[in-house]
Amino acid sequence: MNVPIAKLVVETMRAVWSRPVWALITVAACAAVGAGLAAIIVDDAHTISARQDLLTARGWGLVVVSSAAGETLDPRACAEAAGVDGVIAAGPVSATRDVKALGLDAGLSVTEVSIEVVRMSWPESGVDLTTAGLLTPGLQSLAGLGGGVFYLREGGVSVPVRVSRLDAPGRYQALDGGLLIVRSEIDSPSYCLVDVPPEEVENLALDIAAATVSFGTISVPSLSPSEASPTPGELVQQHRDRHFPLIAGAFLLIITAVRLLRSRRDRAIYRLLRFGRADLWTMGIIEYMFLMGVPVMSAFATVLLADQGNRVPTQVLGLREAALLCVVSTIVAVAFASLSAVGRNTHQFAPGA
Amino acid sequence: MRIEANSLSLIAGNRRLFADLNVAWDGPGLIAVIGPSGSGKSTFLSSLMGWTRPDEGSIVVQPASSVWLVPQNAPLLDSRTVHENLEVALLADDDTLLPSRRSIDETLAAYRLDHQTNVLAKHLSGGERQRVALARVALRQPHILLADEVTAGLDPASVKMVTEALCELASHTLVVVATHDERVWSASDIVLDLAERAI
Repeated sequence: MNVPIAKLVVETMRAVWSRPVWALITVAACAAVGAGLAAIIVDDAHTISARQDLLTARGWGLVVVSSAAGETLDPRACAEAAGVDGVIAAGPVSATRDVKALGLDAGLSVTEVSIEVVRMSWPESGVDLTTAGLLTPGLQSLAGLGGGVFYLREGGVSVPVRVSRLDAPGRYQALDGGLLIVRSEIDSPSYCLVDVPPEEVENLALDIAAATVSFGTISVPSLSPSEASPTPGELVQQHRDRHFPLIAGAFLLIITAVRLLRSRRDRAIYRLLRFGRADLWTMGIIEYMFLMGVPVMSAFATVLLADQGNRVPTQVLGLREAALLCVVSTIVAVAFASLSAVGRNTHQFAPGA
Repeated sequence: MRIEANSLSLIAGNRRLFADLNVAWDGPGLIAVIGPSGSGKSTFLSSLMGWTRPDEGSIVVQPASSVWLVPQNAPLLDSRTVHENLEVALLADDDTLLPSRRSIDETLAAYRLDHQTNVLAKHLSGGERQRVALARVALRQPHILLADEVTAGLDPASVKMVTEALCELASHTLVVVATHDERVWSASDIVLDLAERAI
Protein backbone atom coordinates (compact mmCIF):
# COMPACT_ATOMS: atom_id res chain seq x y z
CA MET A 1 0.00 0.00 0.00
CA ASN A 2 1.20 3.46 -0.82
CA VAL A 3 -1.08 5.32 1.54
CA PRO A 4 -1.25 4.83 5.32
CA ILE A 5 -4.52 3.32 6.47
CA ALA A 6 -5.44 6.30 8.67
CA LYS A 7 -5.16 8.64 5.70
CA LEU A 8 -7.23 6.24 3.61
CA VAL A 9 -9.98 6.28 6.23
CA VAL A 10 -10.09 10.08 6.23
CA GLU A 11 -9.96 10.28 2.44
CA THR A 12 -12.72 7.69 2.10
CA MET A 13 -14.97 9.57 4.46
CA ARG A 14 -14.33 12.82 2.59
CA ALA A 15 -15.07 11.12 -0.71
CA VAL A 16 -18.30 9.62 0.61
CA TRP A 17 -19.66 12.93 1.85
CA SER A 18 -18.27 15.21 -0.85
CA ARG A 19 -21.25 14.79 -3.17
CA PRO A 20 -24.50 15.92 -1.52
CA VAL A 21 -26.85 13.94 -3.78
CA TRP A 22 -25.00 10.66 -3.38
CA ALA A 23 -24.52 11.34 0.31
CA LEU A 24 -28.28 11.87 0.63
CA ILE A 25 -29.04 8.63 -1.23
CA THR A 26 -26.52 6.82 0.94
CA VAL A 27 -27.93 8.25 4.15
CA ALA A 28 -31.46 7.34 3.06
CA ALA A 29 -30.37 3.78 2.27
CA CYS A 30 -28.54 3.54 5.59
CA ALA A 31 -31.55 4.86 7.50
CA ALA A 32 -33.86 2.42 5.73
CA VAL A 33 -31.60 -0.50 6.49
CA GLY A 34 -31.14 0.58 10.09
CA ALA A 35 -34.88 0.95 10.61
CA GLY A 36 -35.59 -2.32 8.81
CA LEU A 37 -33.02 -4.15 10.85
CA ALA A 38 -34.37 -2.70 14.08
CA ALA A 39 -37.87 -3.77 13.09
CA ILE A 40 -36.66 -7.29 12.36
CA ILE A 41 -34.83 -7.53 15.66
CA VAL A 42 -37.84 -6.26 17.59
CA ASP A 43 -40.07 -8.67 15.68
CA ASP A 44 -37.69 -11.55 16.40
CA ALA A 45 -37.54 -10.62 20.06
CA HIS A 46 -41.31 -10.38 20.26
CA THR A 47 -41.80 -13.71 18.53
CA ILE A 48 -39.26 -15.41 20.72
CA SER A 49 -40.54 -13.97 23.96
CA ALA A 50 -44.13 -14.77 23.02
CA ARG A 51 -43.15 -18.34 22.28
CA GLN A 52 -41.20 -18.56 25.50
CA ASP A 53 -44.18 -17.25 27.43
CA LEU A 54 -46.40 -19.83 25.78
CA LEU A 55 -44.02 -22.66 26.50
CA THR A 56 -43.47 -21.45 30.05
CA ALA A 57 -47.20 -21.35 30.61
CA ARG A 58 -47.30 -24.96 29.49
CA GLY A 59 -44.63 -25.91 31.94
CA TRP A 60 -41.58 -25.57 29.75
CA GLY A 61 -38.62 -26.18 31.99
CA LEU A 62 -40.28 -28.97 33.91
CA VAL A 63 -39.21 -32.61 33.78
CA VAL A 64 -41.36 -35.26 35.43
CA VAL A 65 -39.86 -38.48 36.75
CA SER A 66 -42.67 -41.00 37.17
CA SER A 67 -43.01 -44.52 38.49
CA ALA A 68 -45.04 -47.22 36.83
CA ALA A 69 -48.76 -46.54 36.93
CA GLY A 70 -50.10 -46.46 40.42
CA GLU A 71 -46.83 -47.35 42.08
CA THR A 72 -45.01 -45.31 44.61
CA LEU A 73 -41.90 -43.60 43.35
CA ASP A 74 -38.70 -44.40 45.19
CA PRO A 75 -37.78 -41.20 47.07
CA ARG A 76 -34.20 -41.67 45.88
CA ALA A 77 -35.37 -40.75 42.39
CA CYS A 78 -35.76 -37.13 43.43
CA ALA A 79 -32.41 -37.15 45.17
CA GLU A 80 -30.75 -38.48 42.02
CA ALA A 81 -32.56 -35.96 39.83
CA ALA A 82 -31.64 -33.10 42.16
CA GLY A 83 -28.00 -34.16 41.91
CA VAL A 84 -27.87 -33.71 38.15
CA ASP A 85 -25.68 -30.80 37.23
CA GLY A 86 -27.84 -27.87 36.12
CA VAL A 87 -31.05 -28.84 37.88
CA ILE A 88 -32.56 -25.97 39.85
CA ALA A 89 -34.71 -27.99 42.23
CA ALA A 90 -36.54 -31.30 42.48
CA GLY A 91 -39.43 -32.31 44.71
CA PRO A 92 -41.79 -35.27 45.05
CA VAL A 93 -45.52 -35.09 44.49
CA SER A 94 -48.17 -37.70 44.81
CA ALA A 95 -50.37 -39.15 42.16
CA THR A 96 -53.32 -36.96 41.60
CA ARG A 97 -56.92 -37.46 40.93
CA ASP A 98 -57.60 -34.18 39.29
CA VAL A 99 -54.49 -32.45 38.11
CA LYS A 100 -56.31 -30.43 35.52
CA ALA A 101 -58.65 -28.99 38.09
CA LEU A 102 -55.86 -27.51 40.08
CA GLY A 103 -54.35 -24.15 39.68
CA LEU A 104 -55.50 -20.68 40.37
CA ASP A 105 -59.04 -21.57 39.49
CA ALA A 106 -58.92 -24.36 42.01
CA GLY A 107 -58.58 -21.95 44.82
CA LEU A 108 -55.03 -20.72 45.10
CA SER A 109 -55.43 -17.13 46.05
CA VAL A 110 -52.87 -14.55 45.06
CA THR A 111 -53.49 -11.12 46.49
CA GLU A 112 -51.34 -8.08 46.08
CA VAL A 113 -51.31 -6.46 49.50
CA SER A 114 -49.12 -3.66 48.28
CA ILE A 115 -46.79 -3.05 45.40
CA GLU A 116 -44.15 -5.10 47.18
CA VAL A 117 -46.14 -7.61 49.17
CA VAL A 118 -48.10 -10.45 47.69
CA ARG A 119 -50.17 -12.89 49.72
CA MET A 120 -50.63 -16.44 48.52
CA SER A 121 -52.97 -18.86 50.19
CA TRP A 122 -54.76 -22.12 49.54
CA PRO A 123 -57.51 -21.99 52.07
CA GLU A 124 -59.94 -24.56 50.79
CA SER A 125 -57.52 -27.43 50.31
CA GLY A 126 -57.01 -28.04 53.96
CA VAL A 127 -53.30 -27.91 53.43
CA ASP A 128 -51.56 -24.77 54.44
CA LEU A 129 -49.10 -23.26 52.09
CA THR A 130 -45.86 -22.95 53.98
CA THR A 131 -42.54 -21.37 53.30
CA ALA A 132 -41.03 -24.84 53.26
CA GLY A 133 -43.01 -25.59 50.13
CA LEU A 134 -41.27 -22.98 48.06
CA LEU A 135 -38.77 -24.38 45.60
CA THR A 136 -37.36 -21.36 43.99
CA PRO A 137 -34.88 -19.18 45.82
CA GLY A 138 -34.64 -15.51 45.13
CA LEU A 139 -37.40 -14.13 47.25
CA GLN A 140 -36.39 -11.40 49.61
CA SER A 141 -38.45 -12.63 52.45
CA LEU A 142 -41.32 -14.93 53.16
CA ALA A 143 -43.65 -15.29 56.02
CA GLY A 144 -46.13 -18.08 56.70
CA LEU A 145 -49.14 -16.56 58.34
CA GLY A 146 -52.77 -17.52 58.63
CA GLY A 147 -52.60 -20.34 56.09
CA GLY A 148 -50.86 -18.23 53.47
CA VAL A 149 -47.45 -17.07 52.42
CA PHE A 150 -46.53 -13.45 52.22
CA TYR A 151 -44.09 -12.89 49.48
CA LEU A 152 -42.07 -9.70 49.42
CA ARG A 153 -41.06 -8.56 45.96
CA GLU A 154 -37.74 -6.82 45.73
CA GLY A 155 -38.37 -3.21 44.80
CA GLY A 156 -41.68 -4.12 43.26
CA VAL A 157 -39.90 -6.16 40.57
CA SER A 158 -41.46 -9.48 39.79
CA VAL A 159 -39.56 -12.63 40.69
CA PRO A 160 -40.55 -16.02 39.29
CA VAL A 161 -41.93 -18.08 42.17
CA ARG A 162 -42.27 -21.83 42.08
CA VAL A 163 -44.20 -23.66 44.72
CA SER A 164 -45.25 -27.28 44.62
CA ARG A 165 -48.25 -28.94 46.21
CA LEU A 166 -49.21 -32.46 47.04
CA ASP A 167 -51.45 -33.06 44.05
CA ALA A 168 -50.25 -30.54 41.56
CA PRO A 169 -47.80 -31.87 38.97
CA GLY A 170 -48.59 -28.87 36.92
CA ARG A 171 -47.64 -25.29 36.62
CA TYR A 172 -49.67 -22.16 36.94
CA GLN A 173 -49.30 -18.69 35.64
CA ALA A 174 -49.32 -16.18 38.43
CA LEU A 175 -47.47 -13.35 40.01
CA ASP A 176 -46.58 -11.00 37.20
CA GLY A 177 -45.92 -13.79 34.76
CA GLY A 178 -43.94 -15.85 37.27
CA LEU A 179 -44.73 -19.51 37.77
CA LEU A 180 -46.28 -21.35 40.63
CA ILE A 181 -46.09 -25.03 41.34
CA VAL A 182 -47.78 -25.77 44.60
CA ARG A 183 -46.96 -28.68 46.84
CA SER A 184 -47.16 -29.78 50.42
CA GLU A 185 -45.70 -32.63 52.42
CA ILE A 186 -46.55 -36.01 50.96
CA ASP A 187 -46.37 -39.60 52.07
CA SER A 188 -46.40 -41.65 48.90
CA PRO A 189 -45.03 -39.79 45.91
CA SER A 190 -45.70 -40.94 42.38
CA TYR A 191 -43.89 -38.14 40.64
CA CYS A 192 -40.75 -36.16 41.10
CA LEU A 193 -41.04 -32.70 39.60
CA VAL A 194 -37.67 -31.48 38.42
CA ASP A 195 -37.21 -27.81 37.78
CA VAL A 196 -34.63 -27.01 35.11
CA PRO A 197 -33.65 -23.92 33.16
CA PRO A 198 -36.10 -23.85 30.22
CA GLU A 199 -33.41 -23.44 27.59
CA GLU A 200 -31.63 -26.53 28.94
CA VAL A 201 -34.67 -28.72 29.22
CA GLU A 202 -33.83 -31.01 26.32
CA ASN A 203 -30.22 -31.58 27.32
CA LEU A 204 -31.00 -32.00 31.01
CA ALA A 205 -33.87 -34.36 30.27
CA LEU A 206 -31.32 -36.82 28.89
CA ASP A 207 -29.08 -36.43 31.96
CA ILE A 208 -32.03 -36.84 34.32
CA ALA A 209 -33.18 -39.90 32.41
CA ALA A 210 -29.73 -41.42 32.77
CA ALA A 211 -29.64 -40.63 36.50
CA THR A 212 -33.12 -41.96 37.29
CA VAL A 213 -33.35 -44.86 34.87
CA SER A 214 -33.60 -47.41 37.68
CA PHE A 215 -36.51 -45.58 39.32
CA GLY A 216 -38.85 -44.92 36.47
CA THR A 217 -39.28 -42.99 33.27
CA ILE A 218 -39.18 -39.32 32.54
CA SER A 219 -41.31 -37.06 30.44
CA VAL A 220 -41.15 -33.44 29.42
CA PRO A 221 -44.79 -32.33 29.67
CA SER A 222 -44.64 -29.17 27.63
CA LEU A 223 -42.68 -30.49 24.69
CA SER A 224 -44.80 -32.54 22.36
CA PRO A 225 -42.92 -33.67 19.25
CA SER A 226 -44.32 -30.77 17.28
CA GLU A 227 -43.13 -28.32 19.89
CA ALA A 228 -39.73 -29.77 20.56
CA SER A 229 -38.17 -27.48 18.01
CA PRO A 230 -37.26 -24.89 17.11
CA THR A 231 -35.46 -23.65 20.17
CA PRO A 232 -35.22 -19.88 20.59
CA GLY A 233 -31.77 -20.01 19.04
CA GLU A 234 -33.07 -21.94 16.06
CA LEU A 235 -35.96 -19.55 15.76
CA VAL A 236 -33.55 -16.61 15.67
CA GLN A 237 -31.55 -18.41 13.02
CA GLN A 238 -34.67 -18.98 10.97
CA HIS A 239 -35.59 -15.33 11.15
CA ARG A 240 -32.10 -14.23 10.23
CA ASP A 241 -31.95 -16.70 7.35
CA ARG A 242 -35.21 -15.31 6.05
CA HIS A 243 -34.68 -11.55 6.50
CA PHE A 244 -30.99 -10.81 6.64
CA PRO A 245 -29.87 -12.08 3.21
CA LEU A 246 -32.68 -10.12 1.60
CA ILE A 247 -31.93 -6.87 3.37
CA ALA A 248 -28.15 -7.26 3.11
CA GLY A 249 -28.41 -8.08 -0.60
CA ALA A 250 -30.60 -5.08 -1.34
CA PHE A 251 -28.34 -2.79 0.62
CA LEU A 252 -25.20 -4.12 -1.03
CA LEU A 253 -26.81 -3.51 -4.39
CA ILE A 254 -27.67 0.10 -3.52
CA ILE A 255 -24.25 0.87 -2.09
CA THR A 256 -22.46 -0.79 -4.99
CA ALA A 257 -24.53 1.10 -7.53
CA VAL A 258 -23.85 4.38 -5.74
CA ARG A 259 -20.15 3.64 -5.56
CA LEU A 260 -19.90 2.69 -9.22
CA LEU A 261 -21.73 5.80 -10.36
CA ARG A 262 -19.90 8.06 -7.96
CA SER A 263 -16.34 6.95 -8.02
CA ARG A 264 -15.35 5.49 -11.38
CA ARG A 265 -13.70 8.72 -12.52
CA ASP A 266 -12.33 9.39 -9.05
CA ARG A 267 -10.54 6.06 -9.05
CA ALA A 268 -8.67 7.02 -12.22
CA ILE A 269 -7.53 10.24 -10.52
CA TYR A 270 -6.39 8.39 -7.43
CA ARG A 271 -4.40 6.03 -9.64
CA LEU A 272 -2.80 9.04 -11.28
CA LEU A 273 -1.83 10.30 -7.82
CA ARG A 274 0.02 7.08 -7.02
CA PHE A 275 -2.70 5.31 -5.09
CA GLY A 276 -2.02 1.62 -5.51
CA ARG A 277 -4.59 -1.00 -6.35
CA ALA A 278 -4.47 -2.12 -2.72
CA ASP A 279 -5.18 1.44 -1.58
CA LEU A 280 -8.27 1.63 -3.76
CA TRP A 281 -9.47 -1.78 -2.60
CA THR A 282 -8.89 -0.74 0.99
CA MET A 283 -10.88 2.45 0.43
CA GLY A 284 -13.69 0.35 -0.97
CA ILE A 285 -13.61 -1.98 2.02
CA ILE A 286 -13.56 0.96 4.44
CA GLU A 287 -16.50 2.50 2.62
CA TYR A 288 -18.50 -0.72 2.69
CA MET A 289 -17.66 -1.33 6.34
CA PHE A 290 -18.69 2.21 7.22
CA LEU A 291 -21.84 2.30 5.13
CA MET A 292 -23.00 -1.13 6.23
CA GLY A 293 -21.59 -1.09 9.75
CA VAL A 294 -23.08 2.22 10.84
CA PRO A 295 -26.75 1.34 10.15
CA VAL A 296 -26.31 -2.16 11.59
CA MET A 297 -24.67 -0.88 14.76
CA SER A 298 -27.20 1.96 14.96
CA ALA A 299 -30.02 -0.54 14.74
CA PHE A 300 -28.48 -2.69 17.47
CA ALA A 301 -27.88 0.35 19.68
CA THR A 302 -31.43 1.57 19.15
CA VAL A 303 -32.90 -1.82 19.99
CA LEU A 304 -30.72 -2.22 23.06
CA LEU A 305 -31.62 1.24 24.33
CA ALA A 306 -35.31 0.57 23.73
CA ASP A 307 -35.08 -2.92 25.19
CA GLN A 308 -35.89 -1.94 28.74
CA GLY A 309 -37.21 -5.37 29.62
CA ASN A 310 -34.12 -7.24 28.37
CA ARG A 311 -36.29 -9.20 25.99
CA VAL A 312 -33.83 -9.29 23.10
CA PRO A 313 -31.76 -12.47 23.20
CA THR A 314 -28.10 -11.75 22.67
CA GLN A 315 -27.90 -14.16 19.75
CA VAL A 316 -30.26 -11.90 17.79
CA LEU A 317 -27.68 -9.18 17.82
CA GLY A 318 -25.36 -11.19 15.60
CA LEU A 319 -22.19 -10.28 17.43
CA ARG A 320 -20.43 -13.29 16.00
CA GLU A 321 -21.28 -12.20 12.48
CA ALA A 322 -20.05 -8.66 13.15
CA ALA A 323 -16.78 -9.97 14.55
CA LEU A 324 -16.42 -12.31 11.57
CA LEU A 325 -16.96 -9.43 9.16
CA CYS A 326 -14.22 -7.40 10.85
CA VAL A 327 -11.79 -10.32 10.73
CA VAL A 328 -12.50 -11.08 7.07
CA SER A 329 -12.17 -7.41 6.11
CA THR A 330 -8.85 -7.14 7.90
CA ILE A 331 -7.54 -10.28 6.19
CA VAL A 332 -8.61 -9.00 2.77
CA ALA A 333 -7.01 -5.59 3.39
CA VAL A 334 -3.74 -7.17 4.55
CA ALA A 335 -3.75 -9.55 1.59
CA PHE A 336 -4.13 -6.70 -0.89
CA ALA A 337 -1.47 -4.71 0.91
CA SER A 338 0.93 -7.65 0.59
CA LEU A 339 0.15 -8.11 -3.10
CA SER A 340 0.72 -4.41 -3.69
CA ALA A 341 4.13 -4.49 -2.02
CA VAL A 342 5.19 -7.43 -4.22
CA GLY A 343 3.87 -5.88 -7.41
CA ARG A 344 5.50 -2.44 -7.23
CA ASN A 345 7.12 -1.81 -10.57
CA THR A 346 9.80 0.14 -12.27
CA HIS A 347 9.60 0.93 -15.91
CA GLN A 348 13.08 0.66 -17.26
CA PHE A 349 12.73 -2.04 -19.83
CA ALA A 350 13.44 -3.12 -23.35
CA PRO A 351 11.45 -5.40 -25.64
CA GLY A 352 11.63 -8.93 -24.52
CA ALA A 353 12.76 -7.90 -21.05
CA MET B 1 17.02 13.32 -14.01
CA ARG B 2 17.36 11.81 -17.46
CA ILE B 3 15.23 10.44 -20.27
CA GLU B 4 16.82 8.31 -22.91
CA ALA B 5 15.24 6.52 -25.88
CA ASN B 6 17.37 4.27 -28.03
CA SER B 7 16.17 3.12 -31.45
CA LEU B 8 12.63 3.46 -30.15
CA SER B 9 9.78 2.23 -32.28
CA LEU B 10 6.11 2.39 -31.36
CA ILE B 11 3.17 0.80 -33.13
CA ALA B 12 -0.48 1.57 -32.44
CA GLY B 13 -2.72 -1.17 -33.79
CA ASN B 14 -1.37 -1.94 -37.24
CA ARG B 15 0.16 1.49 -37.76
CA ARG B 16 3.75 2.33 -37.01
CA LEU B 17 3.82 5.70 -35.22
CA PHE B 18 7.53 6.23 -35.53
CA ALA B 19 10.70 4.20 -35.69
CA ASP B 20 14.32 4.41 -34.68
CA LEU B 21 13.85 7.37 -32.38
CA ASN B 22 16.92 8.31 -30.38
CA VAL B 23 16.81 11.02 -27.74
CA ALA B 24 18.71 11.78 -24.56
CA TRP B 25 17.51 14.57 -22.31
CA ASP B 26 18.92 15.64 -19.00
CA GLY B 27 16.93 17.95 -16.76
CA PRO B 28 15.81 20.33 -15.61
CA GLY B 29 14.26 21.91 -18.69
CA LEU B 30 11.18 22.14 -20.86
CA ILE B 31 10.91 19.78 -23.82
CA ALA B 32 8.06 20.04 -26.29
CA VAL B 33 6.95 17.00 -28.26
CA ILE B 34 5.03 18.19 -31.29
CA GLY B 35 3.42 16.64 -34.30
CA PRO B 36 0.04 16.31 -35.93
CA SER B 37 -2.77 14.32 -34.39
CA GLY B 38 -1.99 10.62 -34.54
CA SER B 39 1.76 11.14 -34.73
CA GLY B 40 2.23 9.33 -31.44
CA LYS B 41 2.76 12.16 -28.92
CA SER B 42 0.50 10.70 -26.25
CA THR B 43 1.73 7.17 -26.91
CA PHE B 44 5.29 8.40 -26.50
CA LEU B 45 4.41 9.92 -23.12
CA SER B 46 2.63 6.74 -22.20
CA SER B 47 5.76 4.75 -23.00
CA LEU B 48 7.80 7.11 -20.82
CA MET B 49 5.30 6.45 -18.01
CA GLY B 50 5.85 2.75 -18.51
CA TRP B 51 2.26 2.12 -19.55
CA THR B 52 3.05 1.31 -23.21
CA ARG B 53 5.75 -1.17 -24.06
CA PRO B 54 7.98 -0.21 -27.00
CA ASP B 55 7.94 -2.49 -30.01
CA GLU B 56 11.60 -1.94 -30.64
CA GLY B 57 14.34 -0.16 -28.81
CA SER B 58 14.52 0.79 -25.19
CA ILE B 59 13.63 3.57 -22.80
CA VAL B 60 15.51 4.64 -19.73
CA VAL B 61 13.85 7.00 -17.28
CA GLN B 62 15.81 8.04 -14.21
CA PRO B 63 14.59 8.17 -11.54
CA ALA B 64 11.68 6.00 -12.61
CA SER B 65 9.85 6.44 -9.34
CA SER B 66 9.55 10.20 -9.68
CA VAL B 67 7.75 10.52 -12.99
CA TRP B 68 4.34 12.16 -12.92
CA LEU B 69 1.80 12.70 -15.65
CA VAL B 70 -0.67 15.53 -16.13
CA PRO B 71 -3.18 14.26 -18.68
CA GLN B 72 -5.35 16.18 -21.06
CA ASN B 73 -8.51 17.80 -19.63
CA ALA B 74 -7.06 18.00 -16.10
CA PRO B 75 -8.98 15.34 -14.20
CA LEU B 76 -9.80 16.69 -10.75
CA LEU B 77 -12.00 15.52 -7.91
CA ASP B 78 -14.84 17.80 -8.97
CA SER B 79 -16.77 17.73 -5.72
CA ARG B 80 -13.72 18.72 -3.68
CA THR B 81 -12.14 22.12 -3.20
CA VAL B 82 -8.92 23.22 -4.85
CA HIS B 83 -7.10 22.84 -1.55
CA GLU B 84 -8.44 19.30 -1.06
CA ASN B 85 -7.39 18.35 -4.58
CA LEU B 86 -3.85 19.27 -3.66
CA GLU B 87 -4.07 17.54 -0.29
CA VAL B 88 -4.92 14.25 -2.00
CA ALA B 89 -1.66 14.43 -3.92
CA LEU B 90 0.24 14.26 -0.65
CA LEU B 91 -1.46 11.11 0.64
CA ALA B 92 0.57 8.65 -1.39
CA ASP B 93 3.82 9.13 0.40
CA ASP B 94 5.91 6.19 -0.61
CA ASP B 95 8.35 8.07 -2.83
CA THR B 96 11.68 7.91 -1.04
CA LEU B 97 13.21 10.23 -3.64
CA LEU B 98 10.74 12.96 -2.76
CA PRO B 99 12.53 16.19 -1.89
CA SER B 100 11.17 18.47 0.79
CA ARG B 101 7.76 19.67 -0.24
CA ARG B 102 6.48 23.13 -0.46
CA SER B 103 3.35 23.77 1.46
CA ILE B 104 0.02 23.67 -0.30
CA ASP B 105 -0.56 27.39 0.27
CA GLU B 106 2.82 28.31 -1.20
CA THR B 107 2.12 26.16 -4.23
CA LEU B 108 -1.32 27.66 -4.73
CA ALA B 109 0.19 31.14 -4.57
CA ALA B 110 2.91 30.21 -7.05
CA TYR B 111 0.26 29.08 -9.52
CA ARG B 112 -1.95 32.11 -8.83
CA LEU B 113 -4.68 29.97 -7.32
CA ASP B 114 -4.51 31.30 -3.78
CA HIS B 115 -7.77 33.23 -4.16
CA GLN B 116 -9.59 30.01 -5.14
CA THR B 117 -8.45 27.76 -2.34
CA ASN B 118 -11.96 26.86 -1.20
CA VAL B 119 -13.66 26.82 -4.58
CA LEU B 120 -15.03 23.47 -5.70
CA ALA B 121 -13.08 22.09 -8.67
CA LYS B 122 -16.23 21.77 -10.75
CA HIS B 123 -16.60 25.56 -10.72
CA LEU B 124 -13.14 26.23 -12.21
CA SER B 125 -12.47 27.25 -15.79
CA GLY B 126 -10.43 25.03 -18.11
CA GLY B 127 -7.26 27.03 -17.58
CA GLU B 128 -7.71 27.03 -13.82
CA ARG B 129 -8.24 23.28 -13.83
CA GLN B 130 -5.00 22.77 -15.72
CA ARG B 131 -3.14 24.98 -13.30
CA VAL B 132 -4.59 23.05 -10.36
CA ALA B 133 -3.52 19.82 -12.03
CA LEU B 134 -0.01 21.20 -12.53
CA ALA B 135 0.11 22.57 -8.99
CA ARG B 136 -1.02 19.21 -7.66
CA VAL B 137 1.93 17.53 -9.31
CA ALA B 138 4.33 20.37 -8.52
CA LEU B 139 3.52 19.87 -4.85
CA ARG B 140 5.29 16.54 -5.08
CA GLN B 141 8.29 18.21 -6.73
CA PRO B 142 8.75 15.43 -9.25
CA HIS B 143 12.03 14.93 -11.07
CA ILE B 144 10.22 14.33 -14.35
CA LEU B 145 6.81 15.68 -15.38
CA LEU B 146 4.97 14.57 -18.50
CA ALA B 147 2.17 16.87 -19.65
CA ASP B 148 -0.23 15.82 -22.37
CA GLU B 149 -1.94 18.62 -24.32
CA VAL B 150 -2.42 20.67 -21.19
CA THR B 151 -3.33 23.81 -23.16
CA ALA B 152 -5.84 22.17 -25.50
CA GLY B 153 -9.04 24.16 -25.73
CA LEU B 154 -7.87 27.03 -23.54
CA ASP B 155 -8.24 30.72 -24.27
CA PRO B 156 -5.03 32.72 -24.93
CA ALA B 157 -4.86 34.13 -21.41
CA SER B 158 -5.16 30.69 -19.92
CA VAL B 159 -2.57 29.28 -22.32
CA LYS B 160 -0.19 32.01 -21.21
CA MET B 161 -0.70 31.22 -17.53
CA VAL B 162 -0.37 27.45 -18.06
CA THR B 163 2.79 27.99 -20.12
CA GLU B 164 4.20 30.14 -17.33
CA ALA B 165 3.36 27.37 -14.89
CA LEU B 166 5.17 24.83 -17.09
CA CYS B 167 8.21 27.12 -17.29
CA GLU B 168 8.16 27.55 -13.54
CA LEU B 169 8.13 23.77 -13.12
CA ALA B 170 10.88 23.37 -15.71
CA SER B 171 13.23 25.44 -13.58
CA HIS B 172 13.73 22.44 -11.31
CA THR B 173 12.08 19.56 -13.19
CA LEU B 174 12.53 17.83 -16.51
CA VAL B 175 9.18 18.65 -18.15
CA VAL B 176 8.12 16.90 -21.35
CA VAL B 177 4.97 18.38 -22.82
CA ALA B 178 3.07 17.00 -25.79
CA THR B 179 1.44 19.94 -27.53
CA HIS B 180 0.09 21.44 -30.71
CA ASP B 181 0.38 24.93 -29.36
CA GLU B 182 3.13 27.08 -30.77
CA ARG B 183 3.01 29.34 -27.71
CA VAL B 184 4.06 26.37 -25.63
CA TRP B 185 6.75 24.89 -27.84
CA SER B 186 8.20 28.31 -28.59
CA ALA B 187 8.88 28.62 -24.86
CA SER B 188 10.60 25.22 -24.76
CA ASP B 189 14.29 24.48 -24.51
CA ILE B 190 14.07 21.53 -26.90
CA VAL B 191 11.43 20.59 -29.46
CA LEU B 192 10.96 17.04 -30.70
CA ASP B 193 8.90 16.89 -33.88
CA LEU B 194 7.64 13.36 -34.20
CA ALA B 195 6.38 13.99 -37.74
CA GLU B 196 9.89 14.68 -38.97
CA ARG B 197 11.79 12.67 -36.35
CA ALA B 198 13.94 15.76 -36.03
CA ILE B 199 15.26 17.58 -32.98
